[in-house]
Amino acid sequence: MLNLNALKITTLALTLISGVGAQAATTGQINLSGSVNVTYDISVSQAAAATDLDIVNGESGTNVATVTEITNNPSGYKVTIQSQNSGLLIHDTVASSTVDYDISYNGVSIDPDGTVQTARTVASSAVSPGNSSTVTITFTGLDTDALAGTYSDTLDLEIGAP
Amino acid sequence: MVRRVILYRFVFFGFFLSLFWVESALSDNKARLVLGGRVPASLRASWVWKGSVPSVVLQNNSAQSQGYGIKEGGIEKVIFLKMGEERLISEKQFGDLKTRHIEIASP
Repeated sequence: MLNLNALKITTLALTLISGVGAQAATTGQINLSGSVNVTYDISVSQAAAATDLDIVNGESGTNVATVTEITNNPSGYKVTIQSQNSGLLIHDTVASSTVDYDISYNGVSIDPDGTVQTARTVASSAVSPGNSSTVTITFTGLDTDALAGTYSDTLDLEIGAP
Repeated sequence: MVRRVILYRFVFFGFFLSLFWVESALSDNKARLVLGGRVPASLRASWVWKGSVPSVVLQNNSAQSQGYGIKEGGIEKVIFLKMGEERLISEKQFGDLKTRHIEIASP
């Protein structure tokens, strides 16, 4: 009999407490959020001169490409460059015949050495719709000692976080 | 049973390989710039004086040996030059060069 009364009292108390709680919740919140992934995009528009370099007479500040750099990263971006031939235009069949060249990326001189080198860093939130960088090449020609054949190198460019 | 397991592994590996390939193809944070130039093969000829004897220096800039025909006074002679080789053509080999025209061309 005592236990039954205790159970009734407890049930009543819980009902009252829950009722008070329900009446007190007059405000609420809904959290809304979304996210945009950071994206990077780089593209190269080669000039005709890029693959028609004057090996005999050399080049001086010759425009070889325009690079378009795009990101939505508010912290900006960084462009790196790496030469596959360590900054040398190498003869297609005689590897010992080479031309050492330098480039300029957006006005900054770079001597490619085969390592990953920073070509441009932009620390800005205003990078949309993108920036353009001009790439030029400079080297001394081989003059009349030039061995016949094709001399070439490939530059790998990558855009990422600054 | 063993064959089936191998087949499953092969399909599993191929699936992830295809994912990697698609990822690589869609990756546009990389670009490539190709640089190059070409030097045409040629036979350079220049006159030099060996003492009082006029001579012709021929130079082959090709990576391969090439033969060239030399016509002089109706006589044709073919010479072969190796890569980067220079050859001096003087009157000992080709008669009197003082008054005659020499034509050089690939045979």
